Amino acid sequence: MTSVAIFKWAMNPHDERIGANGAIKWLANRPEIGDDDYLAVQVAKDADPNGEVVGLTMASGDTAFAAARGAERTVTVEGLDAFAQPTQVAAALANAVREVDGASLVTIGDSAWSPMTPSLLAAYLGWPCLLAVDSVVPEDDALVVTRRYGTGTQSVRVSGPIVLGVAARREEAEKPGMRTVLQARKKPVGKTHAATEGSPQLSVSGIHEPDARPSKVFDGADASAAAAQLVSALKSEGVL
Amino acid sequence: MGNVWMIIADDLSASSVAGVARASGREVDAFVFGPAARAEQVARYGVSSVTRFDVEAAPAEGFAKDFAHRALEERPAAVVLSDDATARVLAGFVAAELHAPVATSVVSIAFDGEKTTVEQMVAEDAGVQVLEATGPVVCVVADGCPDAEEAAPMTVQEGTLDSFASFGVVSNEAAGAGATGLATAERVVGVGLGIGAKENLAMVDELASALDAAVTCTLPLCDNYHWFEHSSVVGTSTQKISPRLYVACGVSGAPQHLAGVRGAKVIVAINNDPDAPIFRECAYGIVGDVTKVLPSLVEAIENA
Repeated sequence: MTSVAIFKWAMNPHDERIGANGAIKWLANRPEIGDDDYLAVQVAKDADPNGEVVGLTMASGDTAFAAARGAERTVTVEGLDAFAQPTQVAAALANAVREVDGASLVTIGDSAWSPMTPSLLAAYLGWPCLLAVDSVVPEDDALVVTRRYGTGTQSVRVSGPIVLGVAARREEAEKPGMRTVLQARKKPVGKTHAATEGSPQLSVSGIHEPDARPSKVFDGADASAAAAQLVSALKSEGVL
Repeated sequence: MGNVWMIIADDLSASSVAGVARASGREVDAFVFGPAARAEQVARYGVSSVTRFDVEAAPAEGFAKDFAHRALEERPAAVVLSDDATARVLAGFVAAELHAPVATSVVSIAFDGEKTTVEQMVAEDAGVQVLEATGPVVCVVADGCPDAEEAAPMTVQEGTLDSFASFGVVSNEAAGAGATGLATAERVVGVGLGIGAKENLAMVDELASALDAAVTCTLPLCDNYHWFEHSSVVGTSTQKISPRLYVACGVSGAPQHLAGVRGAKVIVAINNDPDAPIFRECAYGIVGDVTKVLPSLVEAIENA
């Protein structure tokens, strides 16, 4: 099986600011490594320990993240900036996946930074999709995918091409060492141009301040008085 | 143009999704994936129709293509949903089929002829960006939007869709007791690193007891200190909650944690750092030593 593990593809909203001219500006211009990215690579490897894993990224700079975790090679998608909309990012990723011969599994972080991109990617590929995935176990010619479901988990047997949105519950336990990273930087890296022609987009017509949030903060120097004021307020809200 | 569609596949955010959908001024068609009780609750949110799809034997994600075909036939004016994982898969296929743009953190939708205007929170809620498109837009609703007012219930219709995926449910595993209680609790007390020492957790338990509340924690108290089970953590990488009251004790307000509690109707913060981000998110706060405030708060609640 050939799997594509997507990493470093979403902008970190912490870098989004409102500039002096009232327009959005980004402190960074390229995606960052997401909390789920390491698990996207791990799940791609787990799906077929003997298969090929290809790393795919929207970032520039150091692109050895997936290679240092077992990917044989990496493809970088160039041509989009921080203002790219989810439909554009998903279209660019879908086109890049189509260029990987024999790819039948895509793993991508189910990132809160851009929550619609993984399912748009699946839709543009025409492949089924499961999100909030914990883990994958190969079983005969299928995969048993465990994902968060309701307040628990659900295991689903899937066969055929699929996009899995992976959601890490914890930080990566053992990051690759410097020696591994240096070796990974010698693995092949290809480039492809972001093909986003015809992607539907929204146009920005303005920006304004949000409605003021009615926040009431009490001075806790006198704890008893502050507690009494808070309880009175909560009773008025009807939540006590 | 058609009605607004809402896709509901979880219980936590249906009311606020319906609130945004109804505020658009258009008639609302609700499509509910899951148990009958979920559909019956959605039927009380003032929608024009409710169609339920049973997903007990086959995951809803397999229906995504057929559902998108239906959207292409009926041409909804907009599609609204929460950030629930199943709803996002369905909406992704609808967006692709309708050739529609997508917006997240949406707080309002308005229509003027064929023009659709969407407002979304940006820059970590520091601003509201106004976006426009011609035709339908798929909108993921921001956490904490106002709930829909309840109305006379509509009759729930049962729907069927064809699956395009080779999916088979192998097993369902229930969550740990902590997670189950948090998902349904009307009041939740949260604890963060600001609580100081482990013995201070007894004060948190006393407050939870006085409020009849469940207890949750931030990720470091689980991963680094091992004071709580993982099922008790709320945040981006764990679970989201939407109680009527959330009391954050010694919680600074890291984005990872706030993403899990923004669905709470009233957030209360107790922290000794007046610049802590939690004070920008809360409705009420006390700036003070949490170990001194908590006993007073318990006493005030018991005397109320």
